Amino acid sequence: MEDKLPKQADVLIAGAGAGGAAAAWALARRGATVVLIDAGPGFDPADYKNSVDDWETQWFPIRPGSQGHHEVVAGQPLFEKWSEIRNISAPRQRMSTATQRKSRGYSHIRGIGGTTLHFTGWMHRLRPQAFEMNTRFGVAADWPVKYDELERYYALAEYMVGVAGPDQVAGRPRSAPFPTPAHPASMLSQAIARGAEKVGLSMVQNPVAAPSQAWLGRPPCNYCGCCHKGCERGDKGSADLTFVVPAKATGKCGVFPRHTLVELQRGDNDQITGATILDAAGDRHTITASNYVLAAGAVETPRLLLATDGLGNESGEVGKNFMETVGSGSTGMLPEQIGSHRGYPEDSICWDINAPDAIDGIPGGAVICPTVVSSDYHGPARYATKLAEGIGSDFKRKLAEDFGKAAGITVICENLPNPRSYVDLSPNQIDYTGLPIARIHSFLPDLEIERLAYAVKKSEEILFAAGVPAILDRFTSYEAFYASHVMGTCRMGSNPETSVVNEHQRSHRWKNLWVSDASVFPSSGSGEGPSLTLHALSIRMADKMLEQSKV
Amino acid sequence: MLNEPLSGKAPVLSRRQFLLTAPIALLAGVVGWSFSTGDKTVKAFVDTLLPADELGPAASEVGGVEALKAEFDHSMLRRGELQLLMSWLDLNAGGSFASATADRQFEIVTALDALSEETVRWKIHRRARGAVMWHYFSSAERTMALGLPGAPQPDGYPDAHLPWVNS
Repeated sequence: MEDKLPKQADVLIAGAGAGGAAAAWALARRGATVVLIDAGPGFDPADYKNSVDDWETQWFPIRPGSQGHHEVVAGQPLFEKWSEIRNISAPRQRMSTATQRKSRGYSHIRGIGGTTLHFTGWMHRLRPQAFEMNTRFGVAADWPVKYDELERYYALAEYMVGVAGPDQVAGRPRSAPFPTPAHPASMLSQAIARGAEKVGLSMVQNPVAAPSQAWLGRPPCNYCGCCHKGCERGDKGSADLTFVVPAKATGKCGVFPRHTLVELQRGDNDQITGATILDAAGDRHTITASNYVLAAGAVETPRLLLATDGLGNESGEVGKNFMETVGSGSTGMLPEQIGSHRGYPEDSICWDINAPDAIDGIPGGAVICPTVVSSDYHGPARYATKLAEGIGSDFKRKLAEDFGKAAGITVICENLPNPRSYVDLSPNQIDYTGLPIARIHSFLPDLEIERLAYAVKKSEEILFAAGVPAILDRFTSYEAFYASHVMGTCRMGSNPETSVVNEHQRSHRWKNLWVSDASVFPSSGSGEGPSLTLHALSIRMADKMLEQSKV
Repeated sequence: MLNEPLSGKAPVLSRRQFLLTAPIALLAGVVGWSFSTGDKTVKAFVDTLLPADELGPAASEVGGVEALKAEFDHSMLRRGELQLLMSWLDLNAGGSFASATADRQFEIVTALDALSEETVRWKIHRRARGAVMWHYFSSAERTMALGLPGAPQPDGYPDAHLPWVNS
């Protein structure tokens, strides 16, 4: 397709992250003309700085348009009784005395590839039971699609990404092996696995988005641990590489960074008749398409719908059922040197408390992974400033001895929807589009806190059993909202009164309006990374659209 | 997956501590930095934190003074805090921290480092220490001099599953 934004296409997709990119590829490969826009810029692996002298000061690059603006309301009171999940600050293990939950923001990237650009690449299928949380446990809502139907889409998405994984993953039947073998366990994972075994738990290899062997033009991972800063080798399977590149290669998909969808026009017969797009220069364009796909994520998609006079909100459910990343990170120092800065971040995982009924009396599970990357103990400067005390030449020698001994563990839990967690519009702030920005309301009911406390306790038992004498540093979602996985807000379901899109992710009312991001999730899963499920759902949605629309 | 956004984050003064410190700090900030004497104290402090030795250059030789000042250059209050810290150092050294012996300088800063984390001095010191340490050790060239790895790429760590020693 041409470089200039066309006036017409079969499908317009707004948002080029895990959902939009996969949908674009799935549609274009079957001959549909696709215009894929994103409010953020394009990135190139050469943009990432993991080989420069001051690499540790380099974060994922911020570019014009790469960060959305939003408000967060997350000020619930904190209580001393939850001491086991209060934050702890290194080096003196000082426990937080904060009295109110804070926001550390919604960690995301706007751009071609979306937040997969800085994810650590967890490629997880949900368990079959996770699709039936309401039927089985009376919480959240059931998915209108089941594991068995999604399985072939999972397998296709895994193929495109080149997922590296073990022969089997607990409780998830497979029709095909992972495309590439699991990565060898890092020394950190080996140490944590020994600890897990001592407390009756098991760590196994985590399915991840970087291939262990060359795959579809991408090299194998070389274990630098910098996934979160952007993969400069281009081995990590971010959606720009795994889906946008092949979508463009079909010749049917035009990709337009720094183009923001600001309005959808309603027409007769419950059809959307056009879209208004704002480019980086501030010029407005109109495009007409047979189908329109919103794929801007669980914060921006409801924002656009609500800001467009409640488009698609016949149920009143747009923005509701917001689900966030509820988790923790705990770090200590092992007595022995393991070189823990090396390896694929979170290359192993404990599934033992992941099943939705794994925790007595608490529906919804959690996953536990070894890490130093999530806790940011990946480089010497962070050790020197945060973990270590002391000064002088002896301090240098101590740092030289201790760097590589940090051992961390991270937890991510199920997050069930509740009425006090939702997305609406800011009453007093607009952005460059002229639309109100999104306002995120986050609240953790006691059940969420109890699940988190259970998972943190288990994870720290593992750390202690691995040989860590003390937890030096801990941060948890109890103290602050800092989500990177956000879900819900445009729930999919069969009932138009309780959901926003149907079982095929099409608006119940608007016959050519679709949603292809994590806003459609009726439940969050029990700590799994959402990207693979998003890929699978989006490819399936494309199939359904092509069947129904004959585009 | 749950990245804490800031590295080397400095301790935060409580509201009470802030109110107690603010007038002194503001006064120091208004009076302005005494470069003739203050710079000597800053340099001596920075090099006490990280002196020249067989493991690498002194912090002041590689921009440590500038990094420290930059950390405290965001507001009049911050500049005042740094002035306050330097004044404490001078006071404890009997007038001039820069003129004290290296052993005495080390003793004073070690005592500062060991203070209760509730004290204002420790919080300001920890911020100052963090700025210098972060600057110094965020250079791959300097960490390699300690026997630590350099930048993770382009070579990566293909041996991540094998034992490791810092050379």
